[in-house]
Amino acid sequence: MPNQPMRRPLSRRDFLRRTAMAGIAMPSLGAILAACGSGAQDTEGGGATASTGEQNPFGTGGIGGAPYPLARLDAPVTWNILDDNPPIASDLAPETNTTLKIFNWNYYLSKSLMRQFGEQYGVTVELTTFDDMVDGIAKVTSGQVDFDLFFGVQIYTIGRLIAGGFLQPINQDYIPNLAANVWDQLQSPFYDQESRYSMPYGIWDTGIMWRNDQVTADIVGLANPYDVFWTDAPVDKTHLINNSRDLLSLGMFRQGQTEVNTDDPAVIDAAKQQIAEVVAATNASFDHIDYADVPRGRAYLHQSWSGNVGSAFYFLPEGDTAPNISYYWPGSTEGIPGNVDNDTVTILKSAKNPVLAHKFIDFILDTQNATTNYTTYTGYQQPMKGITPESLVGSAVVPEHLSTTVVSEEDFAKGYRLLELAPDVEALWESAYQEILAGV
Amino acid sequence: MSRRSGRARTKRSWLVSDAAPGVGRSRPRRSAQTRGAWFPRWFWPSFATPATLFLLVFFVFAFYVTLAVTFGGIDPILQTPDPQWNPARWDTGALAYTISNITHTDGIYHAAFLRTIAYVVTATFLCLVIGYPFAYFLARHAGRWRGLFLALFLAPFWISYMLRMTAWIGLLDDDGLVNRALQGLGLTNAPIGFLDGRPSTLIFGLVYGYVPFMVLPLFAVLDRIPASSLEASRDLGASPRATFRRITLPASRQGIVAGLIICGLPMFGDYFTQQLLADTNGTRMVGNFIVESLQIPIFVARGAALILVLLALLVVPIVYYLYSTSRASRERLA
Amino acid sequence: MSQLRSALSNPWGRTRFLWVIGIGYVVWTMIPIVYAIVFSFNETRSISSFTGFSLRWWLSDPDDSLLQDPAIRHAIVQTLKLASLTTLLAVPLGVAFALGLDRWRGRSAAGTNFVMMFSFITPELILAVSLFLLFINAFDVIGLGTTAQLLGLTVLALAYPVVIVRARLISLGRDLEEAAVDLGCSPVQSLVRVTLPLLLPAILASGAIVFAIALDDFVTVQQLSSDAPTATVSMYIYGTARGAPTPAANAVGTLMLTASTLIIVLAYLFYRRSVRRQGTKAAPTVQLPA
Repeated sequence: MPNQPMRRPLSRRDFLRRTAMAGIAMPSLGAILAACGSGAQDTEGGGATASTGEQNPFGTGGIGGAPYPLARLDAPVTWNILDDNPPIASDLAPETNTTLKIFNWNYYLSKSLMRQFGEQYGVTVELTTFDDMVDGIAKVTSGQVDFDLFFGVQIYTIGRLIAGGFLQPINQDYIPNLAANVWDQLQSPFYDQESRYSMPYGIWDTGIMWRNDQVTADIVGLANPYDVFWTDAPVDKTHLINNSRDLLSLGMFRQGQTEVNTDDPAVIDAAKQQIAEVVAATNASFDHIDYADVPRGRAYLHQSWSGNVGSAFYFLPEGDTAPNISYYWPGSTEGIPGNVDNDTVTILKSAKNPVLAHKFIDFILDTQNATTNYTTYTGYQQPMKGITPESLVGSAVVPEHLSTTVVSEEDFAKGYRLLELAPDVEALWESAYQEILAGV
Repeated sequence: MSRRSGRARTKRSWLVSDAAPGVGRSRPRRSAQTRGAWFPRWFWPSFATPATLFLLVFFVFAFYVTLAVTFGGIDPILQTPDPQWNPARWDTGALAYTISNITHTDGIYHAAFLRTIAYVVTATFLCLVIGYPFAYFLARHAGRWRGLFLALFLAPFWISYMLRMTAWIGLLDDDGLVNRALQGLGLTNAPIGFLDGRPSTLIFGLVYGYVPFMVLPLFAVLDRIPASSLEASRDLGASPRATFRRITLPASRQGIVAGLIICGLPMFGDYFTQQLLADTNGTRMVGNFIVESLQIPIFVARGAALILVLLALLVVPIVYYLYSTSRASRERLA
Repeated sequence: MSQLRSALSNPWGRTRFLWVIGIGYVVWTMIPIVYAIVFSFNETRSISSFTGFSLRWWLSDPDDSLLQDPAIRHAIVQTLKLASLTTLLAVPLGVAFALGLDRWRGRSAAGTNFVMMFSFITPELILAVSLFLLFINAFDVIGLGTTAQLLGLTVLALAYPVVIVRARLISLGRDLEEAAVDLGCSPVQSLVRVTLPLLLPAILASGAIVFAIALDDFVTVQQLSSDAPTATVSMYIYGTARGAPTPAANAVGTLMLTASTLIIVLAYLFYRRSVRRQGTKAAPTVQLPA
């Protein structure tokens, strides 16, 4: 009864059929599970150079530890295009008289751009939002929804979506703007070589946002800016990001630990202890609503994604340059590591309007549209060649004192990425996060 | 055929009540053709069948699915839960993990469970303290204004709960009315951070949200106390306090029990009040852990286990409530 | 103080203290409602400091106002849709169940009644999560969405018509039905012509209650929702309250509040009129299982 192949994400039957079609003798499921279990800790995250040896039906490259390849900077993954999930044909006419359904974070896509696209193609564009990546993944993997576009997919979750058969491969004939406008280093990124299943969307770095009229510490001048959370954080007004990866990596970066995709329980535990200290001292809250909380004074010190600073301007009166808000990326300080990342936009396999979805991606990768998106609504840069940091400072969302929020290509190369973990490693991280939330 | 009441009741004539027989009817029947008095035994119970089936499928079976998920496995790729339908192959790992984390002092659910019980007990007690006088007022002293007060009391039931809570967020904010009033009256100098994660705010929110459920059964029961009993007590020389203690309070006992349960039980499943009014680690309740577990695929089985544990915890008051209401309704019929 | 004491020594008294409680309770309940209504007319985005009167959140704001934001409109439509459909589903099921249970004796009747009342008293989160797991794992053919929400709300609300109608049936007794049968009606005719009309006020009252429950429900509809069109007003207000609250949420709430009040007032008047016409000793309040 439960295994109805029509709706079920990936039944065992599908999994085995897929591997058979790839022409490979697949070990039994039991063997896979055993391999995914305690035994497969031989590859250090980020350090391995070879793949697991045997061919993986989902893609080539990456490191082992999961049923699908895990991408690393020095072990890029090329995802396979499978026979039962081909890209759409080229040169099809876009669907008409329909509703393009977009699934996205809150405040992460300009409403006026959506309206504009709808008018241009004569369709309705409907947005459904999710609060956190886990919520979004849960909705999509439930198989109960038929969104066309899935925005804001983090690169540390994209592998399982591809392997689970939730994304459809992208036909780049519809998206000339990728080659024309997007940063070279993101046209064929390590996590999805040849951009087969995803296109880059927002980029950011993870730093510290604060109210400079309430927090007087000189965060920029600190030898280790992260220390402010441990030494000068205001009680009841400190907020941290509410997901396991960003939160624990804060603890790791503070200690100079750059391996933030680690599977070492000791490292994870040490980071957990660090964060627990902050929580105990400040009664910290966990959210990423800094764009609303910091301007109105619900939070004075917030661990933030740089784009959220830009988002804050949507909530402020026009012309307000927010002089009392500051942002700094600790990675800018010499010798201190920090996180940079980009996320992606993907097309769901269940999409009812795939041609329109492709067209929308092309639309959003237009430099002018990307600039509008960034400067009037989201606050998140898109990696466009035509958008230079210099051109942004002075715009509505990047006043002079917040030029620190702009991510340059050099910063992007300097920062450390959050990458996809093997399921059991992820369980370690999630358990540590739960323990922080539970206060133990 | 003939259905004169003088005839002895047959087993099959469901319509004949237990009332006294033998009332003669001499009026001729209206229609020449009467339907037979005989109806199969299943006729009336069949009315209950649709709802019964509905509940079996969408209530009882849903619990079985919860059991199957709790005791099931995990899909290897997406780590989503894979329910185990065959009880013989149930895996108790998730349940064991959950229970050990509740019972051990450093378990992740331990503090939350204790906290939830503490909050619910406190809030329910406060609801009683506030609700009983108001119910008493409504039942006995509102007089000709009763209709108006009743309408105003019932108003929250059809006004969005979320809206009222959002209004409290605005009121309790650092620059909200409450803080401004306190500062204006000179009672404080700096704004009090009501929304910074205080248990008191959370309990306040719970009381505000659920006190109508306390008032309802109390009102129903206090309304039913006949004025004659109170008058008689007074005539026999009892002081008002004694009247209350000896007449009103015992008579309302069932209402108090019903109110405690109807008001208190839903609080155990509350998570959104915490999220809106006191969103920090120090106030997280069991409900928060449950909804969050459902979002992380590897933890869904634990969330389902939490549901089962919560249900097991509450089954005693639930059954007691069901037993006492069925006894009460039988007493009222007698 | 002595005045207070003399007021207290009167057994019919204690009026002053109780009046304070009465009025105090009502004021305490109403403050947030009035506050929310007032702030829906705020000219800036704040929900804590009122700067000026404006219809911005009702009409003019191009992205976020009640009139312009499609998300709000969908939420209102979905809420009304779910509330109406739940009432149409739960009330007949519940009334039929009450009728059947009333005439049914035996263990199985007690057992079924037990299950029904269990569904009444179980905390909503437990129900919602079980249904969520049900629709994801077992009934994924139906899946999450409006149908699931409807079925979930029906489970939640089913006990209310049962309790109300049963109480009414018990207080009515069988006399009138019996009389009808003696006068020549078949049992079915007696049911349709005598019992149901007598039950009409109770049926309508339970319909109003089911509607109110479904209108404002949060936990169940949130767990069982799928995409944006399945979000209800309560979910919308919750979402904005947790994120970046805007007075548009207050505006939506005020709109629903006004509509509900009108409906309730009309229903009450209709109920009063139909009860008066029947001339029975129908109580003006609802009997509860207490």
